[in-house]
Amino acid sequence: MTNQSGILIVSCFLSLLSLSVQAAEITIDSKNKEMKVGQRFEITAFLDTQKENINAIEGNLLYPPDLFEFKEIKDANSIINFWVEQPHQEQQTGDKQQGRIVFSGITPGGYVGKNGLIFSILFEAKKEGRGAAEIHEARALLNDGKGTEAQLSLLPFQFTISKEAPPVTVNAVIDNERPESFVPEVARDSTLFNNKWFLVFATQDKESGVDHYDLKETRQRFFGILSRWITAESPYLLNDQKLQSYIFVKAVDKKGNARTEKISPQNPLPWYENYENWFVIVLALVIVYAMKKFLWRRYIKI
Amino acid sequence: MNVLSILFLVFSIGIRIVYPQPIFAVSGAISITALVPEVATSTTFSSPSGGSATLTKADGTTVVFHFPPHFYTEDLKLQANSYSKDFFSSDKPSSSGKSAVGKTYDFNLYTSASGIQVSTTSLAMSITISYTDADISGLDESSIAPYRWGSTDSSWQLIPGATIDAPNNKITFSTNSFSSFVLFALASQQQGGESAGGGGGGGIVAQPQTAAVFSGRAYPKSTVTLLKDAQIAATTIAGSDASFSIKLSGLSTGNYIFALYSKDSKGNRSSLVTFPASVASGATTSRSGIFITPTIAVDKSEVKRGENIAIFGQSVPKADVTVAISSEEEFLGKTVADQNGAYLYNFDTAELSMGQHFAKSKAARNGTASSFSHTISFLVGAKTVVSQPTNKCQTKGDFTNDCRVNLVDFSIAAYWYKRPSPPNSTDLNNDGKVDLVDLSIMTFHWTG
Repeated sequence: MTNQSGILIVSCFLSLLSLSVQAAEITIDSKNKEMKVGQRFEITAFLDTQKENINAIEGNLLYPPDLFEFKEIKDANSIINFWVEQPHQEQQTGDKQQGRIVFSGITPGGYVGKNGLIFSILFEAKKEGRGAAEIHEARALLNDGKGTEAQLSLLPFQFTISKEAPPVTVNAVIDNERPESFVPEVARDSTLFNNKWFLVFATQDKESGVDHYDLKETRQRFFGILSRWITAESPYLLNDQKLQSYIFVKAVDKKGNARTEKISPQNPLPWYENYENWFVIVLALVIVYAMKKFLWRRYIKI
Repeated sequence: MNVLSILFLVFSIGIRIVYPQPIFAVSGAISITALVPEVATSTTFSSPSGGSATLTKADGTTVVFHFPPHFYTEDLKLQANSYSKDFFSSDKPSSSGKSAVGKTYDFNLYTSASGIQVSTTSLAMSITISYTDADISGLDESSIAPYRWGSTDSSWQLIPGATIDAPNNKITFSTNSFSSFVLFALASQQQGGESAGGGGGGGIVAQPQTAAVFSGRAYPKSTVTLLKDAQIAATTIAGSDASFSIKLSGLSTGNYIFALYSKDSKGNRSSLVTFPASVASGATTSRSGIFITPTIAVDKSEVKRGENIAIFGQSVPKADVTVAISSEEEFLGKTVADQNGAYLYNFDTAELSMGQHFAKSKAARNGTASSFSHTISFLVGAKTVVSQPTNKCQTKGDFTNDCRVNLVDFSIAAYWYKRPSPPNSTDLNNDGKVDLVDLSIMTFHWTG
């Protein structure tokens, strides 16, 4: 056997071996690989689990900021149920400055599938050039109760920006639906906020994605409508540690549709301590007095 | 009108504002009618243990309450009243086009120690309301849904995630807020060619429903829980043949990850079975033939080599159960579940080497099979140690010890993610940090 034929056999063996050991893949894809300067386009990160059951992923998506201008992240319809780190942009400093989108999240029960959408990013092409968007430092963990790391291959997205590229269409999101219903929960634990009561909440919006949450605590059942909303994140340390307040949580999607959920107080005020009850009683007394005066005058006339 | 009447009227108005449930109805200023419930029951529940109670209504149908363990910080008394169908019609009118089904209800909770009203509990209760065929005459049974009176916005609020057991005329839903309750349904679609384009026939056109239906087999009389995007969306009780069906309506168009699990008669939980699904507008997505994985346990944590170890659990009645024991080579054993779905397989450990081994099981019945259960470990050594009854709540990732691994526990773990000096309880793999591995372990034990 010559050296060349030996190398060929070893190469064939290694090729077959690599085919038999399938690794989960995170791929980045877009409708077009050529963009026109000044146009907006989306790239999307997908997970192909290759029949593995994956319940947690993390990583960084790197892109050339001299060619791309970051606009927006979309996570509607993601296979990730809860983000540990919501995909967000971080600037990486160094010899070669790169744009960086950091993400990590979990899927309880795990995900098995080929085209699991992780998130999309809306960019604008800044100038002519060639480059790649790619995933770095990524991990995908198996749903095996041990957090075993799955074999993972990362496929970059190569692109060209030119003046002559055909136009790229980014579909506008039409969203008339409110975010999904959800159940905020009041809890406390010695490891968080010094064992003070906090609120957790999370929901999804299948069209445009959740933009933010607003929250208010009020001890008044009716007049609470007058109190102000504040923007909040989960977990939220409650102001009313006596749990005497109604809590309203409003999930607002990126198109402004909102869903409000209410939690009644665990320790409601006694009725006599709630001033709105006294307000209504006094109002009723005034009405009754006015009615009496009115009826009395009619009686006198008769 | 004398002063006494005026004061009584004012007092009545005040009482009605302070206490949402009606005590008196005042007609004008003269006639006063006491609105007492048709049937009332009062039951005190111990928070650590939970429990069940049944309200038998005037027509013989029932309302069954299941309070889970640790449902609140203290013991609570349930006051359940049932009224006639039109009891709330003037005070709390229904939305147009909906009719009340059967009776109407006030379900209120009070602390047993001090009698203070409690509107919201820590954990959701399961409530099953039954109704008669006469109650749904002229109504579309599939549209029945439970509603709770929202005191703030003074309207009936849909309680999502209800399960309709049409053959048995029952609906089951979960809630942790208590107030007035009613079942509402839409009128049946009229027959006889009255269509939307029929020239003004005035027929009711049923709205297409965006929904998902899951059916399959779990364990006889077990509770089956459906998660929608990792949060509990519905629960149901499997029949004596282990079959179950859950319908989830009110969904949006889009991609969901649904997951199901069940608990056997001993409180052991199955693995989560997940289904990524794309839900289309106005369509019902169905997934049938679901086979919940068997539960599995062993009678010894350590077994002297050569003695038998009992591997047991629950599945579908009469299912063929395959038990796999991992060693240098895998041993497969077969057994058949009894009429209650319980199975037992005695394995001779003489064939195993000394050290730790793992067992898992799967079941098959009528041509369909489950996936493998989660694995359970045991040690083959020089002595035998009987497994101690464990607290089923002791689950990895349940940081708040409420027998659930859910968004609260995730929030705690996520807070400590990559932070220095995390609490030991959150570091599930004992490597001195909370990272994605800890979150993955917690996620494996998720209950919603």
